[in-house]
Amino acid sequence: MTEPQPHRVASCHSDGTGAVAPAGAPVVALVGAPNVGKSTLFNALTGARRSVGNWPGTSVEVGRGAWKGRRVMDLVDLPGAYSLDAASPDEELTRALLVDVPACELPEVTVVTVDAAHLARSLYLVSQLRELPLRLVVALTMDDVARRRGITVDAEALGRELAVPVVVVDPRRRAGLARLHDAVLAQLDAPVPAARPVPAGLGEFELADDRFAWIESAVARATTQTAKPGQSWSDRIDRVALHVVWGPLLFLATMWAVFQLTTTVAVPLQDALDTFVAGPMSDLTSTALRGLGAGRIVTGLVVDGVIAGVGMVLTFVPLMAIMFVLLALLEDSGYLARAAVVSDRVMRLIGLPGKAFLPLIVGFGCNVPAIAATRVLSTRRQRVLTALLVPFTSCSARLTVFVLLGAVFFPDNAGTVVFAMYLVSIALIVITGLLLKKTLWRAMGSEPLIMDLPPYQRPTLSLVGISTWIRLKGFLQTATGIILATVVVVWALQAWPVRGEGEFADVPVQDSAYAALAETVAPVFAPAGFGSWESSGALVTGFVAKETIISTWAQTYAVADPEAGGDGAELGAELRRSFDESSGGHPLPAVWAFMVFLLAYTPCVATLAAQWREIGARWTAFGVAVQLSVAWVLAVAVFQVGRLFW
Amino acid sequence: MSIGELCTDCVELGACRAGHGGVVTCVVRNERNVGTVRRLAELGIRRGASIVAGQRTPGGGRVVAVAGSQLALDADTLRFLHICP
Repeated sequence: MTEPQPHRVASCHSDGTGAVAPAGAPVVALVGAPNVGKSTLFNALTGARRSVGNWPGTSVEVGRGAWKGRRVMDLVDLPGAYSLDAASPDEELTRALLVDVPACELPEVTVVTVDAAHLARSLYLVSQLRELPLRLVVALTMDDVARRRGITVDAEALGRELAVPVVVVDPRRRAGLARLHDAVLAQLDAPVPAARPVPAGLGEFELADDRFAWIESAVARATTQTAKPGQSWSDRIDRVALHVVWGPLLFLATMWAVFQLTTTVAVPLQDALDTFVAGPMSDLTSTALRGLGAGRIVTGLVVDGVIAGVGMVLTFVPLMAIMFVLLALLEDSGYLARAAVVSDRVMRLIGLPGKAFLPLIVGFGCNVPAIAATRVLSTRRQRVLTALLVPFTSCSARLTVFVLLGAVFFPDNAGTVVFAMYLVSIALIVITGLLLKKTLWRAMGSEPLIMDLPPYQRPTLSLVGISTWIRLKGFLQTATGIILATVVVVWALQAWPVRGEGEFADVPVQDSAYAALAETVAPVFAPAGFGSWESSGALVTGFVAKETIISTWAQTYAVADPEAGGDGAELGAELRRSFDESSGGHPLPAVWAFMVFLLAYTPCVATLAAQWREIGARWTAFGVAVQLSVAWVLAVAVFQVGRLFW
Repeated sequence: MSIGELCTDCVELGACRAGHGGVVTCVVRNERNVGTVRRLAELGIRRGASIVAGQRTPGGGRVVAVAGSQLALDADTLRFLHICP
């Protein structure tokens, strides 16, 4: 079996992969409707760490891993699909790999994940697969949820009705996995079963009726309902979470709490780490390097470059960890699907369905997976528009800069300032979307909202931990990859004298190549109040990744004043001085303008790569032009208006 | 073209009071909503299905309970669906 390999780009997000099966291992496909626990099962079977979430559309790419046991198998996790009648690219991918490939490339066995609590609905995909010459095994999940609702599923009876082996599994508790392995092995040795015959000459909806009749018959014979479901606590929560008035307010309050909690808890930890990195760590390293006989260049590169730059970015690890934990809690609890419903009205304003909110909310963590998540949308126009709007979502990398500037310039209201930037982010998405809808996308029709609302669940420690770790690992990889490379380049430019009498690695930073280059860009930002070479240079390196803005500032001021060693308090004082000078005595409007520019301009090269992959070079270039234009115009407007009052 | 027939007692699902429901008697189908009708059917909303209207949501949609699931539908989709109490 062959399938498109997911492209990997450097980003602050990565999906965890497990061990790879040896060549020649039997290929087993894992399919199922969205949100039935398929990716959780995949992780349990392979030891991989794919992102899982309690909302439809978590998996939009193919995952692959070795399923070890009595025999190693190559398990392929396909995007969730309600049926083989694809309504979006992620569902098309599933159809392509199960239906449209040549027979010789079909998986040896297909495991269909079926939700026992919503049996009839989950079996539609099984009914379609039974019409194909495929070896099937049904993995019955959510049996505990079904029992709590008074539904008992007789797996053996269901297997007889479907003519497919049915195995009850609980991937969250790793129960039933060995039996599933055995059932798949047994199928591997069995002949391909005959396809379920369907009456000839039926139209699409008559054929669907035939399938539903088959499903209802199987469900009636294999299940017993011992209690009528009453109002669940999910229903009670939804009375508020989806309320016409309280729903949007709760959503805003939730997001505010996330950012307030993040900044309140993380800032003291960050300060402590910052003091350690800038003080004892830098001093000890300098002393050690001098003791080892290292020269000025090596000491400068390590202390003023790597430690000042990468070290400063790493002080944001507690902040990122807290943010990622809170996002994982929201995902795993099932609230995100409600947020999509609540935001449907706003999304419709810009011609997008409420479902488009899901990629956008993912973008608040990291823009790169958000671009990939646009595949849950059904039309190309919706995907292009959403992919163009995703860069306006304030990713966690920008959060680090907002927190730094908030703490330096608005120490008493840092959390509220950060939250305000998220509101600006939402406003930017809506306004840009409206403008694009009124101009380029006038003919785009609206898509209905049909959102399956998963029951709320108590988030599990392990899933939240895995989700947080996957994202945090991505951040750390960025810090040690892209940011380290940028730090070295910036250090080299700052060490290279182009005027004055300094020599390499012993030059005032204002006489360096870095300052000279930044000065050529700085006039562009003068009308926005941050036309200093220090800020302009940081924005240029920020094009690579937003975290590098902090590392660049830290390096710049560490080199400018090596005695300060990039200390956090010193950095704050330098930033205040720089913004005060560049704004002509109006530093606060200049900082707001800087943050607005930072929010609106191109997020990072990884996001550009993801956009290029999803919507092509032309739209990516168009997006960059729009982002830079919007960013500059807004920043100038914010500063020019703000300085009249501030 | 529609799936099913309307009777005098039928009401649009959107017009139903919260907590009330019935059996889906008609799913209005036209050339533009074939995909929507198909997806509704896959999720259990098809002719003959029992459905209960739930609370209204921002934007004029509402939550419906069908086949043990809660689905959020927008106002336009609700207009496709007629139920007989």
